[in-house]
Amino acid sequence: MVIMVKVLYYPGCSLKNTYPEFEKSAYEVCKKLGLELVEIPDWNCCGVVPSLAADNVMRHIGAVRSFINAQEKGREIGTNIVVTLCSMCYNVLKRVNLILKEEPDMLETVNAFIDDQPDYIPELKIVHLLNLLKEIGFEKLEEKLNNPLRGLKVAPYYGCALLRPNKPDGVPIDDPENPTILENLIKSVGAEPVDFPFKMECCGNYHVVFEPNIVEMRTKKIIGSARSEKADIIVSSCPLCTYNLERGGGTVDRSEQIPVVFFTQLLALALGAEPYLPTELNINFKRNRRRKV
Amino acid sequence: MSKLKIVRGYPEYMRESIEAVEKTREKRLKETFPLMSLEERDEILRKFHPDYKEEAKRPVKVGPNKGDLMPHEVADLLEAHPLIKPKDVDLSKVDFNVDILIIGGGGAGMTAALWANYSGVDAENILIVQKLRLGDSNSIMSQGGIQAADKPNDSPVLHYLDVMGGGHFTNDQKLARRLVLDASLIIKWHEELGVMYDRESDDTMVTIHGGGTCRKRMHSARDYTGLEIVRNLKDEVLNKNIPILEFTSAVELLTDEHKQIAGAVLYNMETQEYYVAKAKSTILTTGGFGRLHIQEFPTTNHYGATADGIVLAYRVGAKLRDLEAVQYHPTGVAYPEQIVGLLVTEKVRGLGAQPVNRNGEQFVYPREPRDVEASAIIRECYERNNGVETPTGMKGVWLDSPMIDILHGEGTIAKKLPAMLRQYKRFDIDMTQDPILVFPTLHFQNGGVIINENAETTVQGLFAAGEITGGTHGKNRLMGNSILDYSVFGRIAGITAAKHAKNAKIGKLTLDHVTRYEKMLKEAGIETDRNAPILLPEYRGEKVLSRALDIF
Amino acid sequence: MTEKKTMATIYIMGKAYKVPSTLTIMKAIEYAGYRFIRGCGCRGGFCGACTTFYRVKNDYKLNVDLACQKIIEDGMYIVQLPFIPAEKPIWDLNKMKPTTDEVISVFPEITRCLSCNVCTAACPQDIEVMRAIQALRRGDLEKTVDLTFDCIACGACSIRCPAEITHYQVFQLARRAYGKYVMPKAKHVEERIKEIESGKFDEEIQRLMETSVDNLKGIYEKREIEPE
Repeated sequence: MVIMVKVLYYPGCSLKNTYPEFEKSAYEVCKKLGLELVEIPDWNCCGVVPSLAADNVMRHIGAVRSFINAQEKGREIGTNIVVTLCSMCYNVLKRVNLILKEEPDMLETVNAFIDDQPDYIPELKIVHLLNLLKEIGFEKLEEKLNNPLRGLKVAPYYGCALLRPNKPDGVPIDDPENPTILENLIKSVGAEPVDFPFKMECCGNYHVVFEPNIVEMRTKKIIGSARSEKADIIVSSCPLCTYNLERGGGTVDRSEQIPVVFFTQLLALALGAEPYLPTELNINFKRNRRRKV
Repeated sequence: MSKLKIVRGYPEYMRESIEAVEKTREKRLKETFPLMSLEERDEILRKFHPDYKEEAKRPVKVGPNKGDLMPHEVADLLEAHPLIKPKDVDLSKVDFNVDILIIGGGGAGMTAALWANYSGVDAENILIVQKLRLGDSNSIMSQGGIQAADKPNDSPVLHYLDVMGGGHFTNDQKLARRLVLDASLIIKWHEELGVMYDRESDDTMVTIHGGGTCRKRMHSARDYTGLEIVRNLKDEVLNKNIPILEFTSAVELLTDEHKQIAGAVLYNMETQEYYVAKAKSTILTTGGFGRLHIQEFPTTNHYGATADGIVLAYRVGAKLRDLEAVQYHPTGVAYPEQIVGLLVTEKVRGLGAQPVNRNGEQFVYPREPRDVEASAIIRECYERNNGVETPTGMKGVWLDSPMIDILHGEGTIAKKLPAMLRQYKRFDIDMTQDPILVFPTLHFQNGGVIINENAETTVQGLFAAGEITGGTHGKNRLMGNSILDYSVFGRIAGITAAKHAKNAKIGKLTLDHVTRYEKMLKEAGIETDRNAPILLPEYRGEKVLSRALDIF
Repeated sequence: MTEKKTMATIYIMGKAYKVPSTLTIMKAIEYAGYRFIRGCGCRGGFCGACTTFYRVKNDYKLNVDLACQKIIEDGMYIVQLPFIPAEKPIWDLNKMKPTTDEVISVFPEITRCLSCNVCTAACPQDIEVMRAIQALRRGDLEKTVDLTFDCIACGACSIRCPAEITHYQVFQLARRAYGKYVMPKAKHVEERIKEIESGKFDEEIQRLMETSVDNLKGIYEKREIEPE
């Protein structure tokens, strides 16, 4: 009988609108592992779009309002841990929380501005699901495997938001110079991680809107590198990276394309839960090979 | 100078009466005051309804309805000079040349525009002329709902009976028939547009009783039914790119040498420029006349309800009917003073609130047809002296609103009457805890321009729909039938006008009818400095007006 | 029992006028001699035509309310906002899906929402405007619709918004899409329409139309009223 551990969960806008499969597969995985994701009530957009431009905390009001609601819900269910999936939400929430911890003037200003909600006391812990899984222990995952993904070559794509900017107790979910957390995860589900030099290179992010050639250039390199290392699929943790890699800026030759899935979808598959994969992508493991329909 | 002490919104002295109401509430929750018989209805109307006051009306001296009785305020408009003189307007320069000209952009006008468009008239060949903003009309303010006999235990036959009975059997039968038969397709069309009618937990429409209904067939969207429908219509009209002229009035219709209607002279209220609009079909959807304040009653109507369309139609010879049948809504706000006259929807009574006098006693069945209910309240205040007097000298009776949450559960008022709850809260009155004070208010123009089943007036090329028309409701309209009226006949007007426009041939534009009208006034011996239509009511302070100079 | 009128001074766009103190802003402006062409609609709090901004004496806070409902205060500084500059985007509801994604694609500026909540503070209808916009970001169309039903499109929120969102247009689209696609179509209405088209009620109504008034009155009085 599995006792469910409750953590607060911050979804982020992309997971509710464009990439629901990331969230759904995450729920499946966590359920198998005894983790209950409690969605923060009335959470606001973390503000990543306006906040990228400035370090003015006023542009992070969305994040702080979400913290306040999380704080209240957290007291109710007995936790101060907020877990995220989307790399960019993770990055913003982590950094905002850090600023508020380190700069009491900022905290005071923000709390004074938000005069319609209680004050935020910076005691929340923002973690990425990968960190949480590592804490639970990857060997626990191994124990629960239903469908070990043997023979599957998986390229771990970190992108930027999980690793940068570097700061002690800051954003990086692992060693920012040479992270291995995704590789360990991949190993624990029976698959073979592929080491490729472009695993931490930026995909081009929002340049896809106005300068798609930049994204095309970068994603070509990333996918080309993964391909030359014979990767079957790429895993990512970021809706925007996934968007860019899938489209490659819109010009990558379809025959050169490698499927991109969220790491939770891979996990769900291995654990025997619903991975919410697109129907044309069918990864068959009993026969230890990839079959594309 | 004494200052009144206000306790939770009400002056202290009124609290005594409120306590009397609270005392009798429990007993009254189980009681139903008996309905009146048809004879009792007739008697109370004759004695107390404002329409029956002989001094309040007079026979009009000119035009197609010469000799018919009308309220003074309406007769004043018909016995008045046109706003423009033919010599001031150059009809040879045509600014707009369209198939369909719609004068009045409220519920009826927008419905007509959409159905003309669905009937094949391109958007650019339609023109809506609107005195205020598109959608500003009485349609927006309907709070109760729309009747339609679409439940299994109901039928259009029963609806027809209710319509005729409510109208004291004076209705135009064909119009009444059309009204009830087209109701369900209007509801369906609204569904397709996206109107959010309240549903039960499944797909069944929520329906309740209204005054004079024998089945629960009032559909509503919380208590914003009128607003919800109008904003859907408005959005759709804008999506179709139908041309609209806002803050522009029609000040005179145009005729041609064959005496058919050929369009109108329009007037930009902001720049004072006039436009000549030529049209193959002209539809009048100008609404009601509440802002004429008949018999000095306050009104529920919007700012622009000044009977402009009646004047325009009359001048070109269209026949009218039942203009002396003025509907006073039984429950208008009587306190606080700032919102006197505004509508307290019949839905409040539909949900169980009883009218009670200052001693907490019931005195009338809560849902008689409006004219009967209004007369009963007037009798209670002025003959029996059982009303409550406000600090400004107005009299009213209580509507025991706290009964609603008791009958249907806490939160019912918040859910079903949010607009009203909010309105009273602004003045510190909590209608879930205290009753509200009401008195009849000027509400609806029962009569108007005569139309047939095809929304055609008695003049070629002129169509009409909505409150401006007469006959559908006879001498008294039931709640929920006005939204239905403008929808059913707005639709028909759009379709008929579209058909007419296909073959209509407009000749030379003239304002000869203006000259003829001036002659009629002279021959009838009418000497006046009144002009009509008045376009907007005059509410400027008297002190300022008495010292105003028109020099710049 | 009548009160004697006390007067108050209000500043209409900076000009001082003495008016009776119990008037609403709308009636006070008229008392002062202004005739509304713009800025006045239903006079009952339903149409959003009379959006008015004001400050009260000795207070820096900027307030918004409807002129027809708000009672004046001595020393009030007022100006009206009869029009919000915003073209309405054209959409074809028949070609749209009832999703938050769809609404955001028509109004991408929604993604600029900072969660500053100035919109909610400005709303005269007590709507939680920011929450309704964020509900769209959360993928919750139903919540947006439920929160904004009472919106009268006065535009106060939109004119204050730093992200320049036109909230009332966003909410109108959300509600129409929801009303058209998500709310179930009433089957009983469709069935009744079929019955009417087949002529089921024609004969009976014809008989009622042809019968005498006295007979009709009798039928009317005898008709059964559905209980509450």
